[in-house]
Amino acid sequence: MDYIELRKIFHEQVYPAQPNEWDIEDALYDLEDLNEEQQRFLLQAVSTVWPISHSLSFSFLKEGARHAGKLDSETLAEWLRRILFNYEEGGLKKARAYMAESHPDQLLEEVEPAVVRLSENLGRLTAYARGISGLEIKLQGSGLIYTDTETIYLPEEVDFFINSNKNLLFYKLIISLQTSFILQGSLGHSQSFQLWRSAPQRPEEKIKGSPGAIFSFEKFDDRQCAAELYQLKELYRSFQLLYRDFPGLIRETAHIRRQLLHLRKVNQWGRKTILEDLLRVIVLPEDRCISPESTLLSLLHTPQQGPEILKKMYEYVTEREKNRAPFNFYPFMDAFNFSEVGKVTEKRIEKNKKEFETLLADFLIKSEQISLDRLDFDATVEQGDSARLQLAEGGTDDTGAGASITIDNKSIELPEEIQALIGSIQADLGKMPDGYVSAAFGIAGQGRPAGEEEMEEIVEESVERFIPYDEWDYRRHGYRKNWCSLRQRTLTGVKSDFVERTLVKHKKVLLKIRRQFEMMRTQERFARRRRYGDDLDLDALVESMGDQSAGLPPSEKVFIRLIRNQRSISTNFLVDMSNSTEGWIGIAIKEALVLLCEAMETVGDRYGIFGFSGMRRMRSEVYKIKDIAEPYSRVVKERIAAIGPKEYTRMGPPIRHMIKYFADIEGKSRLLLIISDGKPEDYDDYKGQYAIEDTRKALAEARGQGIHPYCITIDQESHDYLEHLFGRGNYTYVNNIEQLPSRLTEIYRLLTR
Amino acid sequence: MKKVLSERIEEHVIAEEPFYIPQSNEIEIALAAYENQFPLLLKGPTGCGKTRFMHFLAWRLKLPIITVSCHDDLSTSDLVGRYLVKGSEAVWMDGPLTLAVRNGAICYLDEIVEARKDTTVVIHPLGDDRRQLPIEKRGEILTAPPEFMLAVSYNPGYQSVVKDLKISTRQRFVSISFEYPIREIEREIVAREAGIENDLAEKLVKIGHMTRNLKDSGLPEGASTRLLIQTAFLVKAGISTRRACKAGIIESLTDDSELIDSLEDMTRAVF
Repeated sequence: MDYIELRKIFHEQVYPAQPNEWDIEDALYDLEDLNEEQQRFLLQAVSTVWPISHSLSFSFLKEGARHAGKLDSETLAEWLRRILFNYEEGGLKKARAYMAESHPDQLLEEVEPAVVRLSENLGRLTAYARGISGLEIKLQGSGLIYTDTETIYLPEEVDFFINSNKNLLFYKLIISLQTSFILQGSLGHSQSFQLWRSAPQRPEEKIKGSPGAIFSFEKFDDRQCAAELYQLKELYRSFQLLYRDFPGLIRETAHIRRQLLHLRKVNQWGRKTILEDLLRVIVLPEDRCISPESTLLSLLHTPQQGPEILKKMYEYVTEREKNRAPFNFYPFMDAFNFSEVGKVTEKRIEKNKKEFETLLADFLIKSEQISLDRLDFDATVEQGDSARLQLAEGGTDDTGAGASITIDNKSIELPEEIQALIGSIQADLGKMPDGYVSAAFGIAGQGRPAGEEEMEEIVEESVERFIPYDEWDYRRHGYRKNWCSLRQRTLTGVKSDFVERTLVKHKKVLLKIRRQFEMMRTQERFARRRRYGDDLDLDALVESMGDQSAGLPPSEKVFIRLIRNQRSISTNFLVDMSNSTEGWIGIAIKEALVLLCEAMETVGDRYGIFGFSGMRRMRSEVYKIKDIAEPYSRVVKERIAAIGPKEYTRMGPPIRHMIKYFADIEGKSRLLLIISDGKPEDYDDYKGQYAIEDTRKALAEARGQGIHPYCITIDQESHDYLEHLFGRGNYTYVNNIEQLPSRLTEIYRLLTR
Repeated sequence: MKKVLSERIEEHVIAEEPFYIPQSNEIEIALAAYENQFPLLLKGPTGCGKTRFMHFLAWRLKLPIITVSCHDDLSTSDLVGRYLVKGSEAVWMDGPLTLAVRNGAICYLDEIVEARKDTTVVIHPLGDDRRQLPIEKRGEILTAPPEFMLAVSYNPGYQSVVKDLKISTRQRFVSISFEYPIREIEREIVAREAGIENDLAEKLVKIGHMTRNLKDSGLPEGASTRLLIQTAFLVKAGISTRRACKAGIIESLTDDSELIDSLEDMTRAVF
């Protein structure tokens, strides 16, 4: 930049001040020899120094020009920080002396970069992501920065800055950007996305035929360029969202965004493209030094969001840049991974389809719109074709609100659950496929699950030593009598130092747990109106005298006694031992049980521990780990150590078995705490809606017997069925498996407070 | 012994219209319940406006309202009444429930699950079509006048196995479920109650929603509207927004240091 340009930027930095021209000329004289990047570098810092001292700003520019070749964003920030420190300590003289003597290139050698690791901050950052978005987002370490709309992939560790807070701030900025992409539908989960799709006539076929190709920019010759421009546009929208919703984050990250832009210069290979300045404007719009490409900028600012804007941007860029180098968004993000989004979307479409068909079929049967006796399969398909799903005016948004179904000119409003599902399907596919309704009619007409014959075949298996239990079939609204059989076995213990190791590993947590549970045990309260006691209960005494004066027999219960709360609580823990708990989950569950036993021993509540697994309806198994009457002994510890993954998760029979077990147990409050890592599922047809409804019924039976069931689920995927299964407020999920031991004891404490 | 001490019922009259924005059709349901002499059960998370709604209802019906905050040691006598010695004479003192029945007022038992189960049984004959309150010590059975209304509240999210409402109790009531108000209404409530600008109220509500996103994901319950209003008052008192959020919302929600950090991150992002 020449002097005129430099002077212009300088004035912008110090506006509204109007310094002497000769001072400016003197300060900028040395800057003219530097390259543009170095010039901008130093001038940007003036805005920080100017409000503190005008003279210091001029000195800083002169000294800065001397060191410019050695300064990058990191060192400049650190050098500036020290200059200002010296200024505050000893005034202009000391600051000038420091600038003259210091060697900025050695600054960073004095400070070790403060590495921040994702794994060490996973809980905090996951809660942040979920809190700001309201979505059940997961975070995962990766070499690239992107999202598949369910998981955000982030670097395993960040050491861009010498300050750990800044490195953590980087994570927060990137998470905020990625959640914005998801929320604004940049990656497809919204109607706006449909405009950009390669527009097959039947979108679901396109997705099925070529997973991941849902966003191919086929209409553009240079797809790479179109994709980059689209990404740039979405990044702009994301930042706009952050500016609107998170001004604090924007303010806090101003410095690191600037540094990241410099960092990007250092790391980037390839030629500078026309998009570079545009990226700077998007990332740092508050920076007035940047003179962007005005046509592209005005296109970005266009309020309308349509394919025309992308086309115009594309035409503009391709006209000016032939044989352009790929554009790199790092470190703000990597390229949108539409392929991964496609896989996730495909999975969701499949899941939604099944769920929609089952729920609609169930609804039709329940609402008696279709009679199982009257209709055979063919007839239902026919009827399904004649039935129409009626979407409300404006019902093409992501809510599906107001959807109804019309059969024989009769319109029935659909339940909220189905409406929400319609919203999700529409968001993915752009419309509600007609075939879904026909399929639901088909299922409703059949009235029984596919594969039931197969289940019937093995009904004759021996049930000796097994206890028979009924199973609920929601489609026939009745029980299948003695459909399952369950055997209770005692888990054989193994010699291991697992318990000891766990106690050492969780020493801190254990101390806290013991303290908390001791407080529960020794919680003292004054019991009033006692026949005997430590002190007079004045209220009772006055009342008694009042009664006497009134001619009524006075009460003798006029004392207060200090007593410990009676905790008449019996708890049984039912632990999932299915093969999906293999590995770290299983270990965390075992560690949690060890801590739990310690806590229970402290508080003195009666408790039993049982595991469950099995395969098919004739071989459910419950493993006794600790009987409620059994002391917490070496044998029990060995059994806990022996807990390991077995087979499948048929939840109904073990819950019914525990109901039976509870029948002989005393206790004013009876709690059944189920610890599981996923949905109920078995090798046979015990899955999906069927399994959920049976488990739900078993839990309702438990409630009917005065047992309070509560579930702790280890979060592996989104659990939209949990509320339906356990009822509101009767479950929780633990996002971070490492937290399970402390969370389990905490939940127990809250449940029995 | 004959004399009955009674509180001045006029003290329980709500003279000015309380600020209340309906969330749904709760006012219509409550009025219909009143017309038909049904008792009312309000369910909902803490601080979502149940008590305020009852005050509004009392104002609307032009009835006095007597509120009892239930707790572990609340005895039947505390509700119904007891004899007191005054000089050489024993005088009967009406409890809040009896006072409400005698005067045709609303009796609102707040957080009824906190009361002992044997205490809550006393409301059973009042809650069904008998509408009677037996006063054992006086050998008297009071029949409630048409104006009397019984209302109770509880928080189903309070997940404790040892504290739950008896089926026989809850089945006497017409129930209304309360949730936190939708964003726009909540913003208006916070702004109006605390007398702050819309922009600040909007941000506080945003933080409230973020904390509610973490329900069952570490937090047993998100921030209530009441907490948001309290925080707004702290800001109004000159405390910086971030500090006010920490003291008014975050520290009140959890002791978990990781969650505290996370909630602080959210607050910093918004302010």
